[in-house]
Amino acid sequence: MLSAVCCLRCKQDADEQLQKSARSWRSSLALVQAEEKEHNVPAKYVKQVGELASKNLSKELKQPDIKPETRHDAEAVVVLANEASK
Amino acid sequence: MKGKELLNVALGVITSIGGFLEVGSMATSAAAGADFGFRLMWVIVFSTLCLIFLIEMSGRLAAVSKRTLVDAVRERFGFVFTIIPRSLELLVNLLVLAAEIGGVCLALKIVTGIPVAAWAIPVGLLIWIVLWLGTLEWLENTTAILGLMTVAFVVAAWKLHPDPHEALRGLIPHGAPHDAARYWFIAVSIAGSTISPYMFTFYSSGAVEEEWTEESLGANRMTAIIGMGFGCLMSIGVLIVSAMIFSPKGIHIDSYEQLAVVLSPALGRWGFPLFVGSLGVCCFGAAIELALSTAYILGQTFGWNWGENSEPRNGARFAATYTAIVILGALLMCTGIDPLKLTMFSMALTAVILPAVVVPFLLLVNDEHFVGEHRSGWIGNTVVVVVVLVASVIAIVAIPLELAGGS
Repeated sequence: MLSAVCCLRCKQDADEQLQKSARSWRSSLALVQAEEKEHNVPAKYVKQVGELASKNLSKELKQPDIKPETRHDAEAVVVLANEASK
Repeated sequence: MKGKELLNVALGVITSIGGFLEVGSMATSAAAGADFGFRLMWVIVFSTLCLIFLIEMSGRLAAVSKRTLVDAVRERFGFVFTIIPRSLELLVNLLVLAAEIGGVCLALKIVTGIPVAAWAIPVGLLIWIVLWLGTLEWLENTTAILGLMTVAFVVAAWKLHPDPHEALRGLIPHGAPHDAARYWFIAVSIAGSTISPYMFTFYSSGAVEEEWTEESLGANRMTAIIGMGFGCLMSIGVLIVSAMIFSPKGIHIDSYEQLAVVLSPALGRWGFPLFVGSLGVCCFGAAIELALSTAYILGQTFGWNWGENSEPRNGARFAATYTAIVILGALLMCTGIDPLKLTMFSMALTAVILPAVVVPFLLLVNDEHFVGEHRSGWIGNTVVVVVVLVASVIAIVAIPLELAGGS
């Protein structure tokens, strides 16, 4: 019973965590890209944030028990991050 | 107060302000602002209050007894007892020094794109050269005056016009609105980054090196109150800016790189270079203080010749100690360890060891043999005991929870 509850909690946690991470990195990318346009933040820096976002989210996407809509959303952020890191 | 004394106080205050912010206070305040808005501001204030008392006490102990904190603990409690707090302090100093070196490397990485691990050895070498060639006064003043660029965080916070009611509410202690383990972990990390034992070891050693006397007590008190008070404003500035830029967008700080644009919305094109400069300079200054503090601890514990103002050949073991700790810190950063995780963990660990370092210190500043008539008052004693014990207990609970949560 206890292990089942723990399992369920892990499942929820991984999914929730990925949702939060995807939102956080999407906003981070939007912020640095806006600052690149408005205040000449270096493109080299924007690339670094893109690489970090892609790396972190790809790692979290490998976890099991992620809901399809969460996975889809996170993958979309990875695409954005890969574009920023070019 | 005479002209020269006023100048010394002003210089001491500038040193305290410029030297207050370092990788730990930046990371913890930024994480607090991003995850919990203004709600953890009270921790910065309470920790700074405790730090003011501790800094004042360490200066008073040095000025009256002519002994450093480490010397006095060894004399009062014996060599064997001294080993316990000093060993804990050395371990934490190494981790924090690695984090500070990581901070300088990160500033360079953000600008150049070259990885942190590649910068660790050159940065370590530069720190060592500065330590080898510099005198205490030169090191303190140069890094602190450059560190004044951290005032940018306060200016940015002002320009973002935070809601004063919300900000004032943040000064009242309250529990976690959500994610309690993370909330308390950040709270104790803030306490650990503010009440860093290396600061009072460094301060008392500096006071002895600069030959303070009982006449210096007024200047010591003013430096502690004004310098640390303004330093606290810098940390609050980081928290406010982070709360206003990151929190509404749901940005969680997973890496230092995300922080680099925190000043840009308020300060425009100056924001990015000011952030990178602040991170690099503050971490460099703190790394120097930590390496020296470690050498002071070992030198004073084992009774070696010590002093940054003397030639390295006159204190060979002292110079060898700061050389060794800088090498170890740089090597730790070469392993590819995440600088942000290392910073947050080492700050929380600092909170755990605080009672072992602070309690013997408190006994000394209440002992007539060491401080004569200048014993501590009950207010200072109470604030320090309560803050240190509470922070330590919470840290013991929060660190495993945070590690298990894997945030």
